[in-house]
Amino acid sequence: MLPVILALLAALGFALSGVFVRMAGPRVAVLTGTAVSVVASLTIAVIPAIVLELPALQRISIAGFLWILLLAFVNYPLGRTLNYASVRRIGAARAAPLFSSSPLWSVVLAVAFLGERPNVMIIAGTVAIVAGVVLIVTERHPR
Amino acid sequence: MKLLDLAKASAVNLYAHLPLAVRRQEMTGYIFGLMAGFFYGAWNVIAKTTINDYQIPPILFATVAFCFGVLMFAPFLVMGVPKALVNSRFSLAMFALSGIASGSAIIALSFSLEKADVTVVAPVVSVSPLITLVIVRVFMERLEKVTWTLLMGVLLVVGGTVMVVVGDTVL
Repeated sequence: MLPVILALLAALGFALSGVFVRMAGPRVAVLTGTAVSVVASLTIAVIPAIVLELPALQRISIAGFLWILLLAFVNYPLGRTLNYASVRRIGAARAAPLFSSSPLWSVVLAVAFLGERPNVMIIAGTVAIVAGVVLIVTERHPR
Repeated sequence: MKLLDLAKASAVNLYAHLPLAVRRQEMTGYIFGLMAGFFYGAWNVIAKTTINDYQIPPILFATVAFCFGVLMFAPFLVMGVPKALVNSRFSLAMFALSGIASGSAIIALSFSLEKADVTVVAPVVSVSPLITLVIVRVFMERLEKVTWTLLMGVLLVVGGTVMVVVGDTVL
């Protein structure tokens, strides 16, 4: 039961993240806002990381750090900035399902670069995600 | 070619009733949202491989990534924050709360994945857009309108995401 509660809390956290950005309004530049949010995320994550996993820090190789550096670039200057810019333009409710389609992109990348083969369930899920995105994007008078 | 022209014409018609600036803003918003989804998807693929290959605990991994993120944004912190503190402290506080919410979400997700399989955790986490919809409907009705079409779209995306995640990990 605990893992499900934690997963629900994670879902609530991700949802609130977009809502707060929407509430922030247009007065602060997206890049500045994203920078502040990354600092806030770090302050929340650093204590459990130090308390629970500090010895493991010494075991991370240079290559491991370089991969994390690349991932940080993909996630924060690219992913989070675009996420916030999207919320500012179309609102939290419409933007959330768009970046929640990330598992679809994971599968597309895995098929393209890792040679994985999608099964029926993945193909059906992909069709559902694309249909949902098309419904949201093509809706008339969305405001 | 005819199909492409038809699609272009349909897209133009759908947005024809809106002023040009609004149309542009909306289209870029949708494109940015999809691009964010793409980058998060890429992150998922590379992060899974990196965590497994280098045996890095997920919370430590996220924290080191946040540190690198802060370094990358350092110029914007130095130049943007003093100005933003004068312009709107409220907006800045909202962005900080957004970071706290997503940081907490990542920690909760890491602990959850330590205790249960991804097939249990991922479908639960993917209901996040539905929670957003409920919060917007209850607390932000004047800012955003929740329509039946939007609800249907979100349900399709959430359902499809669950199917993709389960299909990718179980079958």
